[in-house]
Amino acid sequence: MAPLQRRAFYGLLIGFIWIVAIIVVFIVDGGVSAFNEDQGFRLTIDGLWIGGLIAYLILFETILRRPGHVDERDKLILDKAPRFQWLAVIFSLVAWVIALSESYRDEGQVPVVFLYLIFMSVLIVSMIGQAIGILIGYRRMR
Amino acid sequence: MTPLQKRAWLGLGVGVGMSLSIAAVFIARGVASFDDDLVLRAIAYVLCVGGLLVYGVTLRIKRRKPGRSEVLIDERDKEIVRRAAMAQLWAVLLSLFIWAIALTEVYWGQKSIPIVFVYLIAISGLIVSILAQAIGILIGYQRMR
Repeated sequence: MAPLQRRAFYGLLIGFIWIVAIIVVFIVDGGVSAFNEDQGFRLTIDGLWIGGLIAYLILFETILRRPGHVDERDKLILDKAPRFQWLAVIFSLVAWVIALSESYRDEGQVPVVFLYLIFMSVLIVSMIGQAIGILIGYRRMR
Repeated sequence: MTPLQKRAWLGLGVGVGMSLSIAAVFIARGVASFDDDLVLRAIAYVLCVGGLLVYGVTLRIKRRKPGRSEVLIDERDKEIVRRAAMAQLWAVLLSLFIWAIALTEVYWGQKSIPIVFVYLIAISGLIVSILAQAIGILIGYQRMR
């Protein structure tokens, strides 16, 4: 397994754990309605979010700075990954639109906290999309 | 002008056309009436789907001239497309960030936003993505001169 492929695999694993952790914290701490009132809840979510982003940055940035670890094929795969990232971002946006419009159709209003959640989820999905794009790239190049 | 440049100009035209026409429709009929106004919703959906279809057609510009072996997209073009894809992703993230800040500040008192903005966020994400790719490619050519 190539070093970049291994990192992408770890990235995918971290991404799923990251999403599950955020969902669990959200459910345990009272959900969307408690988010505005509970500062501890907000800080926990912020910690998880920023911590995950830093973990991803370390995972991929460190390998790109080591010339021996990445060859031309790896670079080509890495270059194609943004396509998957882009698709993942667009599909997650569409999923948010459908879910929110269906859930809040009667009220006609969506809580402001969802803006924060949309932005946060799109960043997470983008990171996971990159990892999936790299893994698919290796599979196609076999 | 290379085929990729031509495609970028067409993409830019589609993106600007889509954003102007959607903005004009929403201004003319009012953003607040989105939930009740079927005509507004229908026009918005037609503009989005139509714009995406036209954009899809521009992406079909051939890589080779018909009947010739001459390659119309070379390594330089591929490098420009690669960079434009990154610009596209960052532009979408930036547009989301701006929406999040602007709507949070405007609707902070009410603690909720009209549902139409969720649609507008998604529509603008698509348009920004089309525009960013086109602008990224055009800037790429400008820099590589």
